[in-house]
Formats: sequence, C-alpha cells, structure tokens
Amino acid sequence: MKAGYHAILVALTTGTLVLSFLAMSYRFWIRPRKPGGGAVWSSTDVVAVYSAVFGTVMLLLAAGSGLMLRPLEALLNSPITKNKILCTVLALVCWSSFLVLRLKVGPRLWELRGLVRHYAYVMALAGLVFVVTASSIGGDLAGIPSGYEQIGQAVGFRTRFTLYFPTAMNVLLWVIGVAALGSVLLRVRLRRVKK
Amino acid sequence: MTTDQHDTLTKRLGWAPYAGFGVLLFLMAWVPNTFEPVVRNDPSRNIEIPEQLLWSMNVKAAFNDSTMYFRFELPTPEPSWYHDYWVYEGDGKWRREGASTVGRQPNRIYEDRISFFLDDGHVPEFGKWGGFVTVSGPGMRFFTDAAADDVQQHPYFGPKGKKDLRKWLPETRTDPHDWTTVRPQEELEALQAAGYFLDLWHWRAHRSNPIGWSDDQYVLDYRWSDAGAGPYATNWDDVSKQPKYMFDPEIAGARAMRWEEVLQQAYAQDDYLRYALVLGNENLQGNVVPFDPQHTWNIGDVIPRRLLRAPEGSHGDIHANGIYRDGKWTVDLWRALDTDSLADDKLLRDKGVYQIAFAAHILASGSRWHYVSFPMTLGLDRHADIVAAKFRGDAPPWQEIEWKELTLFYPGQIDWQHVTSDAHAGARQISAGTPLRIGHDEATLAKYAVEFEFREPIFDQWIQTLVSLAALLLLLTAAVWFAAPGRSSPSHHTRTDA
Repeated sequence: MKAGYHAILVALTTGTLVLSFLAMSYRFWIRPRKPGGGAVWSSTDVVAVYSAVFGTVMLLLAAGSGLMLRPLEALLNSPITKNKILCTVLALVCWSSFLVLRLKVGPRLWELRGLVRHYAYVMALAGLVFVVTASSIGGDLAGIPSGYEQIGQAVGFRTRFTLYFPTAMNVLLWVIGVAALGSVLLRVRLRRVKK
Repeated sequence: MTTDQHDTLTKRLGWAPYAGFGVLLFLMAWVPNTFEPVVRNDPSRNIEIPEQLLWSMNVKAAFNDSTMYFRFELPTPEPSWYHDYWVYEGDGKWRREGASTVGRQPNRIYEDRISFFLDDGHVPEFGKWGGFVTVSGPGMRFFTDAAADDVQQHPYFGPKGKKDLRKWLPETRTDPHDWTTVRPQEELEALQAAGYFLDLWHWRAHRSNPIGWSDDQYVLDYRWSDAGAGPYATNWDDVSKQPKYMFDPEIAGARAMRWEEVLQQAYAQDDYLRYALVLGNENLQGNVVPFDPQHTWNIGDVIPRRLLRAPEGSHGDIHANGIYRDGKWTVDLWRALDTDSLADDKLLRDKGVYQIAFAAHILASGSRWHYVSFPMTLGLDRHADIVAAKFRGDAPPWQEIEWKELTLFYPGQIDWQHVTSDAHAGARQISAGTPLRIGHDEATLAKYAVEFEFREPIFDQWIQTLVSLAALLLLLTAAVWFAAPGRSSPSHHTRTDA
C-alpha cells in the first residue's frame, strides 16, 4: 500500500466528517423562523447522516490502509502509531454511536430535548476531534507536524508517547460504563414492573 | 419508553455529554502525565531509569600545527573520582567494592567519565546515527538480554578473555546484528586497515586523570584499547589473593585508605596520591610500594584495585587534565593530530571535517547508564557543528573560543538491530539514509528509550486502555440508546414544543 492512497482516504474521511458535523451543527443550533424550516435547514439532517455514513466507511478504509503502510509489529511498537490507532478506534466508536442513535430516533433526534440529542451531538464532536487528532499524528509521523498537534501537546496530550492509563483507571471506566447502562436498564425494568 | 420516562431521564441531563467529554479529554491529558503504572526499576532485568533523562555538557575545540585540543565543562552535583577498591575484611581476605552495577553505584564509588567517538567518514552510518550503530545487536553488557556465558564460550571472544559484549560495528559480523558471527581475523584486519573503526577518546576521573592521561580506545568488532600499555592495570595477585601494591606511607601518609572515609568521599580531588595508586617513573611521581602481607591490616583498610601507570605506545596518545571545581568538571584532552597510528587513531588535518558523538558517565553510573549526544560534525577551521579554532602557540586561547552546548540524553537499550528492523516504524527512513536528528530530538528520544525498555508491559497497558475507553463509550451509548425514544414512539417533548 502506498502512502498516497492512505492520504487520500484520510482526506476524504476528514472532509466528509467535517461536512457531517457542520450540517448537524446547523441543524442543532439554528432554530427555524418558519415551521419546517427552509430548504437548507431541512436538508441538513440528510447531509449529516449520509456524510457520517460515508465518512465512517472512509475512516474504516483509511484505518485499514494505514495498517498496511508498515509491518504490524512496527505499528504496535511505535508510540505515535499506537496513539493514532487509539484515536482512530475511538473515532469509529463515536461516529458509530452517533449513527446508531440517529438510526433509532430518526430525524426527530434534533428536536429532542435533553440527553439523547446532546449525547449524539457530542459523539459526533468527539469523533471529529479524534479523527483530526489521528490525522495530525499521521502528519507528525510523516515528518510534517501540524500546529494542531502542537496545541494538543501544549495542554498536555502526549501524542508522541504511548497514551495509557493505570489499571485502576481502566477499571473505573468500565465501572462508569456498566453503572450507566445498568441504571438505565434498571429504570426501564422498574417502569415496566410498575405498569 | 414513554414520553414521561424519557423526559425525567434525559431532560435535565443535556449538559452531561459535554461535561463527560471534557472530563474524558482532561483525563487523557492529565493521567498519562501524572501516573506511571509501568515504568519501574527492576535490577533483575538490568533496568534502572535515571531520574533525569537529559544532561548538559559544553565543549570547545582548538588545534595548532601539531595538536588537537578539546575542553569540556560537565556539571555534576555528585562528582566521583573514586573507582573500585579492595576492602580488608580480616583473616587475610579482601573484598572488591565499586564494580559496575545496575544504575548508580550505591556507595558512589564509580568514576565520572567523558568520552567521544571520532570518525573521518569511513563508518558512514555513524555520521547519521551516532553511537547507536555501535550497539549493533542484542546481548550487550547490562542489557536485559545481556549475553554472558555465551561470550566466554565463543571461539573468538572466549580465548581473548571477554566475558561480556561491549560495542561493535555492524560490518564486523557476517550477520550485522548477530554478535556471534564475527568475520575472520583477516577480514577484520582489512576493515581496520580501510579505516572502518571509530576512534574512542575515553577520559576517566580515576583511571587515569590523576596522572594526566586519558584512555585511548577504538571500536571495531569490540571496544578495544589502542596498542601499547594502558594507563592503568589491575592491582591484584591472583596467586596470593592479595593486592600487589599498597600506598607508600611516606608519600601517602598511610599504607591504606579507610573505608569510612571512602564512603564519605573524604579525599579531595587534587589529593590523588592519597586515593589512587600510582606506579611512578622518572617523569611521574609514584606513591606505591609492594604489598606487605606481614603488616597488621585492620578491617576497613582500603587499597585501590587499580594501579595507574604511564601508558606506552598508541595507548598513551591522549593527555588529560580534569579538575572538579564549583560544581562542574573542566576537562582538557589533547593529542597529536597525527599519532602515527592509523590502525587505531583517526588522522586529523587542518580544514578537515569529522564526525563526532559524545557521552558522559556521571552520578556514579557505569556501563550503559550514560548520557549521549546526537552525532555532530567537527570542523578543523571549517564550518561544522563544532568548529575547532586554529591557533598558533602552545596553548589554545580558550577564552576566545565559544562553547558548544550539548544536550545529552539517556539512550536506554535501543540497539541497531531494532531500529533497522521491521519492528521500528522509522526503519524505512533509516534505510533511505534519513539521519537520526530528523524526526527526533533529545528529549523525545530519551523518553522513547524508556518506553523501549518497557515496551511489552506498556503495550499490554495500552491495549487495556484502548479497550476500556472504547467500552466506556459503547456502554454509555447503549445506555442512551435504551433511554432514547424510537422512531415510532408517540409524541414526546421536543424543542419546538416548548
């Protein structure tokens, strides 16, 4: 695999996901003056969703092509590429989360009040941050570090050294996640029992 | 889920995702910089990480028609001009103190050192990647996988009395990364004659700065000493199991040092006749007499394990004068531009440009626990990283010559085999000739060196973190998914309902 193909896929990924995020941000923050909104407003959901789907597929392909650039042993030995892999996986999880929620709720997602709408939006935001970070790390790896990464390093992100947590911290992450899911499931169960 | 349920569960939690994402970013920045769950000193694996990964040293250079001069400034808060000693234990037995250890010598009995490789272009990899090319494969001394018994049994090294692996250059092996595959002697000699070796200037605070000499060595298939007698020998009689020499009490004031005074570093640096054994001659004041086994030795009496002596031949080419004062060593080294020994020294010429890389051993640390520099260029009155000033007369005009500030870094256990293998992401760049300095700086490389020593546990911890972070997001998403209304849910509160 030539690095050029990977760069093209990364550019397509970043471009489409930025487009998706801009479209959903418009839909998220702008309140239409007339019922139903204008043509642009009403089409933002479609743009956001299809761009996100295309961008996520591109992200998968970009990740796959990136893994073919060097021997896997080299990628897993390099602190920089390990961080790139971590950011890419998190970006995939975030964008997939956004799409799953949007798939379940439908276009009404943007009209909801409270947690679900904001969570979906934050997933897209986080996904974009991780994608851009992964791309920036790739630039550093290619010998062309960007200002974005330097800003990240200035506030403490160790993109050049393997990012990892202590085991206790990782256990805490699991506890938080299981507790959140468990509390929701318990709540749903209790509601059903009450009925 | 009904509209009411959805409202009560989620309505007041709109802020939570933003806060959660903020906390996650904070943790990703703060935790790795605050907690270090993996990097732990482990003497059983020959691992000790220095408290400081970077060190500074200054150098300046000058030359005249006949002689090359270097001056170094090496700050160190805990200097050592002490090395290994025999300590009397009673019953005629002496025990050795001060051998190389993992990391810092606990009693601070290990001499400070300044060294550098010098090349004239005959070792092309050296100019780009510095001393890493001399760590050509695994098994090096005090590495986690250090070879020991295999070296003693090796048909080439065993008969030469070698017990461990020091430095070697890749082309001296048929497999550049397998230390056992030493080329036949005639091929090694041909390589050496062709200039394929690194000249090694090796100043040591105990061996043998007190008598005004530096060790003079070179690296080819091993780290060898130049031809001739070296400036020190071992003060031990294998037959009698006693030292060969002791201090002359009329010169040193006593037959032996005292262990408690050694531990307190009580001997002044310029008082070397009391802490170093010197075999004198007509040009060198000595302070030794043959060891007296009949003397009533007291427990805790100390005799140096090294005997300093005037070197001979090419081994004695480099002169030295090192003084510790005001928290730093100031060390002068000088030798002839042409030592008339091209087999183990690099010929230096006016207007020549050479490759050079420095190292310093401080804080009572030996072997691989040193700080090293990137490779640089040394120009004799030519543009280079370090420009040696040309002067007339006998002494360099040091005051007129600018210091070159060096940032030295801890190199860890990174070896040449690794960096040129598929296991290193930068192997292709090395193959393409990209110098070490491109894409690395000293601070980054030092931290990589530490990561490299713990690469397996760090990898395990990274996988654990990756899975945990992904799991957290997936579990939270699942929770929100269960809380979210479906497409077919009845009407629910929306922003436009308000």
